Amino acid sequence: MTRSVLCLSVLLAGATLLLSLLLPAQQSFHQDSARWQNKRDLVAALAITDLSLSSEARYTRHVSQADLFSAFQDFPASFEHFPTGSMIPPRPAGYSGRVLFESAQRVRP
Amino acid sequence: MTLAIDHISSRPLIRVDEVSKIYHQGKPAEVRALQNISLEIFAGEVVALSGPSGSGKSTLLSLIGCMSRPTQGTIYLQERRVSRLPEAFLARIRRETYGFVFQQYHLLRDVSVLDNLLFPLYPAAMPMKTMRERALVLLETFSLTDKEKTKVRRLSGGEQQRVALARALMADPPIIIADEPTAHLDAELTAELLTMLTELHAEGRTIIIATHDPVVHQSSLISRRVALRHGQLADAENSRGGQ
Amino acid sequence: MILNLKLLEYSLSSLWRRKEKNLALVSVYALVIATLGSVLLLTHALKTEALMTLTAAPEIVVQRTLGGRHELIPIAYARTISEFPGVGRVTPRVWGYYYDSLVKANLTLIGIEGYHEQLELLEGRFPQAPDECVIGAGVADAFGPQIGDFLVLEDSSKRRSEFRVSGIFRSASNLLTNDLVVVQEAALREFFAMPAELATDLTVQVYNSREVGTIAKKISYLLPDSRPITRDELLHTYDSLFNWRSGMMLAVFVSALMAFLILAWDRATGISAEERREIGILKALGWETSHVLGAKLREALLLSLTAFMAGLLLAWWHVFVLGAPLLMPLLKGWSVLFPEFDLPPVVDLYQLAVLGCVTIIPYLACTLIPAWKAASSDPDDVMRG
Ligand SMILES: Nc1ncnc2c1ncn2[C@@H]1O[C@H](COP(=O)(O)OP(=O)(O)OP(=O)(O)O)[C@@H](O)[C@H]1O
Ligand SMILES: [Mg+2]
Repeated sequence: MTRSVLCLSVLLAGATLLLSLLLPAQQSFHQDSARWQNKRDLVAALAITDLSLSSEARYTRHVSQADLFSAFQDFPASFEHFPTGSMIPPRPAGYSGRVLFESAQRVRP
Repeated sequence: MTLAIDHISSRPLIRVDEVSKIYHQGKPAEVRALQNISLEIFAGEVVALSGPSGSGKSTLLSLIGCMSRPTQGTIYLQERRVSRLPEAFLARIRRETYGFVFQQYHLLRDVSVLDNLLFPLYPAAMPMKTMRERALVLLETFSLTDKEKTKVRRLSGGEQQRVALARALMADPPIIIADEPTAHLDAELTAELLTMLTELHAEGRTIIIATHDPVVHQSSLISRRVALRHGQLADAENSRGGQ
Repeated sequence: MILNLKLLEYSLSSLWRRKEKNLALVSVYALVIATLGSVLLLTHALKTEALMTLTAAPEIVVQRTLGGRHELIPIAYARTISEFPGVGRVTPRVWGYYYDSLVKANLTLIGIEGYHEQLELLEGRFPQAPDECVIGAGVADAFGPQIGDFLVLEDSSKRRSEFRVSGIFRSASNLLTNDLVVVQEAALREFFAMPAELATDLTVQVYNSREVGTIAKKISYLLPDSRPITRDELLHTYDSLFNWRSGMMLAVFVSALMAFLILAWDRATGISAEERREIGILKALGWETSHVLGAKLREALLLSLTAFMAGLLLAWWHVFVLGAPLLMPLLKGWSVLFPEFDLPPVVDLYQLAVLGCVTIIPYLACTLIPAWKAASSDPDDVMRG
């Protein structure tokens, strides 16, 4: 019996440790407001639009901003990364031009 | 559900009624291990099953012990048709009514002697401590006390045989089924085993032994001898027991 | 109750009996969980960082396209846009990239105008003269300047411009500022040789966030060669970039999961003859099918829960204590300026629960089904093998 009690308490201890890490982590999100506010001040001051994550190429630096060298300029939200870009469709930007065909008769009545 | 064994009952404790066992029925490898066996065993009897190798002794014991189901026929335990009971009931009968000593022992080889003895009692509502105490008493009886922690794979054949017998007695069953229990024992140990069986019989247990050991076969302990040949009873007279 | 504990006892001794094999299994299992968990924790943290900070980004960024390609935008557009009702300030931005072939780093140059309040995350001060600049911590690390040193950039006509470093962004803001060089707008304009009537793009302030969509439509209607990018789109980009179903780490996730399933499958189909025999013996000794399955379930649960918890703890340690050194190469690519993260320790319990389900349940199934098969046949058959 002692063995199973021991084992259960080890499992329980592990679970407690894990939850004590995870649960506060789920909440800390909203609490550490000074931390977020400082960063937002910075974002607002410099009008930052992107995380400086992948600076290896110019087209990866500002993911949300289409660029001179971008492959999909009409979709600011599309990913020019493999494999993401091939699998996840961009959300339609909605403000770009549309191709319209009108019949010759209606254009020139 | 422990059986209340009624010594003076005129009704058989176990009744095997027209039982056949066919392995791999309908396939080319079909084996008719038992054909139309009828047999009655009364409480308090010591029945010896004999017969040449392959005659179906082990098969009959496994049917009686609820380890498998007959292809045809019915087996009654105290007038209950056990061969038709659902699996959970059979398991319960196996653990509360029968103590089975297998021909190949069927011990867990990587487990200690003590732990092997405990297995039959896990499903019982008995604390581990009590189980362990029971096991120690039995080990003492079978002079295995010093092997308590030894793994079964390190035991000699005779020692394994004794562990198997001790395990069969763990649940204190009213019926003991032993398949070739003396196969690996020398004359001295065989005599010892017979003494032990005599004691168990004196405690009121019913014993069924399959054997081709003449020493066991001729022993005064045996109250009835049943011979099997090619899956059939060789001597129909003896199938009807009684004291 | 007593039966439960006894079956647990049995499971423990059974696990212990095959300790080498089970230890190996737990390690692999935990490693898989740690890999998947690290990916989830890291992407969720990055996503949180993006979504929590970029809410302060401009409501609308207006770019101009020419022939379908990005072009510099006339500052005159700003006046048109600022006359829309509901629109606040419209600010032309000047920014661009600078590639340093020596360090092989790509810098982002941003021009700012006017007076800026002191920021918590800036050590030093914003540039107050045309020859001053503020740099990100990554730039400082790569090139080694301190406050007061000079940053020398060569412009397109090979003319050297010197900027005195007047401030360095604190490393806590690395995810936003790592590769930035901020100078005064006029200075940057001169450095880029950008005509005075043009800007890189415009930022548009909108008072009521519900009108952003309408205003964006109006902009593209009135200025057909412009392309507005709203903050919503920007946040959506980051949401899906780091969404756990997507992202470039999807590949890692899937392959790790596959490896795990193969492992579980292998284990399941390879229920050893020894184990089958054990089940047969237990049945012969009077165990019911439910007892056998109960014991096996406990075994599988003990093993998978231990592995799951160990794996998650490992993932936590890897991501939030060590800073995810093993995943960084994936995110980093071959970029030179890569921020040292100040990751917010945030988790999404839902994701982790899903992770638990997709790993624990297949494992349980893979273990229990063969055991159930063995346990539901006649003990005689099983023992004979
Ligand atoms: N599971 C099985 N599948 C197929 N055939 C079987 C099976 N079990 C037993 N048999 C066959 O049934 C017949 C009877 O076997 P059984 O084991 O009952 O003989 P036995 O009398 O106990 O022999 P022994 O004295 O050698 O132990 C044999 O021909 C055997 O080959
Ligand atoms: Mg036999």
